[in-house]
Amino acid sequence: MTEIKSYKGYEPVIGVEVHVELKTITKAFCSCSAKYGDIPNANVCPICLGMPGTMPSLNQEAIKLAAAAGLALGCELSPVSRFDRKHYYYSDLPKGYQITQYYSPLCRDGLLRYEVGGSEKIARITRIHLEEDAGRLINRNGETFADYNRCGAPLIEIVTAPDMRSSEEAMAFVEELRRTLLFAGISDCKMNEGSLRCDVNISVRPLGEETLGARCEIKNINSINYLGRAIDYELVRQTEEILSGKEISTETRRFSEDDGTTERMRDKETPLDYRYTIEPNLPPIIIDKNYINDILKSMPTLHRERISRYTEKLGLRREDAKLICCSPESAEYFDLAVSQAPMESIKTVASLYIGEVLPLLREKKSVASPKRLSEISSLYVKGRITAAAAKKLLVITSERDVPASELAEELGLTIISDRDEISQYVLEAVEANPKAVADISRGKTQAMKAIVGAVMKITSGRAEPSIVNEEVKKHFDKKIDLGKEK
Amino acid sequence: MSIDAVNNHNSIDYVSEVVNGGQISAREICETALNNAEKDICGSFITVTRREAISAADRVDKAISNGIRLPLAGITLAVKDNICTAGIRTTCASAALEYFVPSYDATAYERLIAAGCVPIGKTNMDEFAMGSEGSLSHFGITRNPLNPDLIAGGSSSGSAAAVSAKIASVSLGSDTGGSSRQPAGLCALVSMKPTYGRISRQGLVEFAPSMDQICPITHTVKENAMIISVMEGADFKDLSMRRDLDMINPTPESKIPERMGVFIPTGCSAAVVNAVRKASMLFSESGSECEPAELPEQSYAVCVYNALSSVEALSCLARYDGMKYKSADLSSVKDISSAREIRGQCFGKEVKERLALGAAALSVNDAALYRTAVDLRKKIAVETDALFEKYKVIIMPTTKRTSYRFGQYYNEDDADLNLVYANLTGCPAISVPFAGASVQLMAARGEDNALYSAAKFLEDNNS
Repeated sequence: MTEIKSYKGYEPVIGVEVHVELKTITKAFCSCSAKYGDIPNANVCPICLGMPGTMPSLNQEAIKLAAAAGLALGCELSPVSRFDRKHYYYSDLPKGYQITQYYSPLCRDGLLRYEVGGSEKIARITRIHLEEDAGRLINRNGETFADYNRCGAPLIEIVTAPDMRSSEEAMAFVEELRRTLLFAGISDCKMNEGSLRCDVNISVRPLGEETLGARCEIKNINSINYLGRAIDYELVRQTEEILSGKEISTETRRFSEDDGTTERMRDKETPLDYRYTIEPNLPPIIIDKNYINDILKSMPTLHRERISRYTEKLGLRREDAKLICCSPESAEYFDLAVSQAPMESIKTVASLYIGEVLPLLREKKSVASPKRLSEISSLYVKGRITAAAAKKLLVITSERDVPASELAEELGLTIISDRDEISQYVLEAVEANPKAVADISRGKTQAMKAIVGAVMKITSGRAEPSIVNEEVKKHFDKKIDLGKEK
Repeated sequence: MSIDAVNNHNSIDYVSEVVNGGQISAREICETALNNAEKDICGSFITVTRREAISAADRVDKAISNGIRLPLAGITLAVKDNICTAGIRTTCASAALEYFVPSYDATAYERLIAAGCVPIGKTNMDEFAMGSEGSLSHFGITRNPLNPDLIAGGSSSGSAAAVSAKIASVSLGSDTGGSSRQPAGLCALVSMKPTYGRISRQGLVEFAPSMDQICPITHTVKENAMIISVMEGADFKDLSMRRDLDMINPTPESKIPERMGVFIPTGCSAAVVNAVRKASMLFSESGSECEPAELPEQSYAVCVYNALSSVEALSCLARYDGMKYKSADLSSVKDISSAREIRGQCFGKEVKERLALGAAALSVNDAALYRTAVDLRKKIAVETDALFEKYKVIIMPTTKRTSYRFGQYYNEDDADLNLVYANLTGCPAISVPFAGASVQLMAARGEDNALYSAAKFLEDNNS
């Protein structure tokens, strides 16, 4: 059952272009640091500033990550791909051209499966190519400042076919793409820091129509939420334009975060406008089977595989498995905890992790180590601590990393299940509650609950409730029996 | 030892020998060269680097006094002003780079300095290496020291003139479509454009990077080989270099090729035709099999060169916006049109015309011109390779005529025909003076040593 979101009988046809900054230590074509957030122009050199006579070197790690992205997205890797130059004049681009791959991209023909409302969708990946980032212009008080720290940092551009039919689908696609790249270790994919940027191509057509309408490209979208808003706005705008008899012009538009609208920037560039030429200074990238095998061997386990492992092998609920796979750090933490836990305590590990650890992990607060989580879960499963004590131990071990059982003993958090000990506490409780005792002897067995409560109070909740119940019952049964004998 | 004895002796191995032997100081040689450079009437230099020359000469003298031998001790070097020199402005003879002082040396230059060369100045050239008369410089024209009424050639005009006038012992030019071989030919000097990828281009300001090479200009074949043997070799900064080439033999032996093709295009002057005929006769008398040969696709080779070099130039010159290396008044930049105007002031007419040609090749009819030129270049390379299956060396004129007056043959489109093949195909080619003109020898990629040997043979038998 597919859900088509339409407006006045028109549906949107959507493709996206996603730019992703690769997680390399240095830039693509020089040895400057690619670190985010340093003071402006701290990480520049004659090469990335495009000074006359300088020549690009080639960051092999960038090629490896771009190829890994292709493999994670089911692409074919070109055995030979080359670099080209894309020309445009703008102060963020000191060479006057960007080194990119136009004629022969590194990866082609992939696809990504994603879920919308429980049903699976597929979007085709047309191409992935490697290129360099531009600098950043900052406008302040009518003056423009240039920061070239990002200039020359390695990017991949992922281009999809126009395979999405609603804002919901586009959002789910980008989220799935983000998670795939995150788990494959390709990028940190932070939309707010610009390490994942999304342009969207959208056209509309009457439902049932096969041919594509004229499309607009929306730029400047830096959250998944904005992506959805921009698409919905365009669906309405383009449909209304058509219904009022106007033609949609092929143009580049900018999304405004303030009011959720889009506005025209310029006519859409054609390849001709960029005057693509071959980059003569870089040799072709050659990729063979061994290279691919090496990447596959070192590829981290993707979230998709982890989710099916958690549900099929560990018996977790799918929703829980997905929560655990919200980030590679989360999944890795969980895997470490699980690897140290016996099979019977895995579900406890999962529920304690999701309930107690993950929220803190997300806020980057300190958490108990995976080892402690598995220890605490085992104590709970063996009946040595209560659920409340387990939560308390998780908090304490996040600060004091000591074995959970020692800590539980030290803090007196272990459950008391020794019958002799508990019967002592029952005697104490009986002595301290004459009224309840009197009620019981009058046949009000309900009052035994008060004695049980008193025992729990004496033991700060540590006494195993079932044993307490049994011991209290045993105590009064004995009394009654003795009474009968007399 | 007197300075005159050194200056009148052309051979750099002799000069290096006496400097290494302490018979004369690098400082003394360099002072004389600097004085001559400053007195030069041919416009050979854009910048005379007195300070850098003296400190380099003193370093050489100090090294020698410490017992170190340098292969090119005290050899005075003039460097084309499109080759980057740290701390010395590098203008490409253009207003666009009038105030550009690089913080880095070109690798090839750096190696020569490390070998003991003393840099006396940056030489004049046609702007951005586009031109063949030495008349298109922001800093004035270059004249031919052999006859100041005539052109020194171009674009490496000052590099040829400075060596021809014996101001510098050797010089570096660059060759994208004959820019070193042609002025060397017109100034009776030797210049080899080696196999593409033999010498690092790092630090050579780009004109058309798929064809650019740094080339030495020298008086003799042996000097030329010595300079290349110092400059060549792997440089991790230039990824377009070839790693599979034999090293250059710095002392080439005189040796004739077994089979040679002789190519004489139409329109050559009698002196030029005579020189090539004489040279090929000399080869065949000595045992080479010589026969007439035709270079492939002569009707469009120059067009292909013009299209591709202009397209690459458009790309490489895109970075010169007039705001970075020029003294433009930036406060006047208010919008895109004023920025455009400032950029317009960067370049001379020839450069602008080539940029316009490059833009047209990339725009008109879906960039058909560019794409066709890329394909035809491959075709020319394949057919040239086939020619070298048959001939070890092809002998032809360097230029169609000997040096001439400025602007005398301005509108001749096919002037570069002989020269562009080596750049389009990456093959080595050397120009060597012979019988009152210059002849060019070209061989298959990697056959640089065979060319030096054949050139040495011609040089030894030049009367």
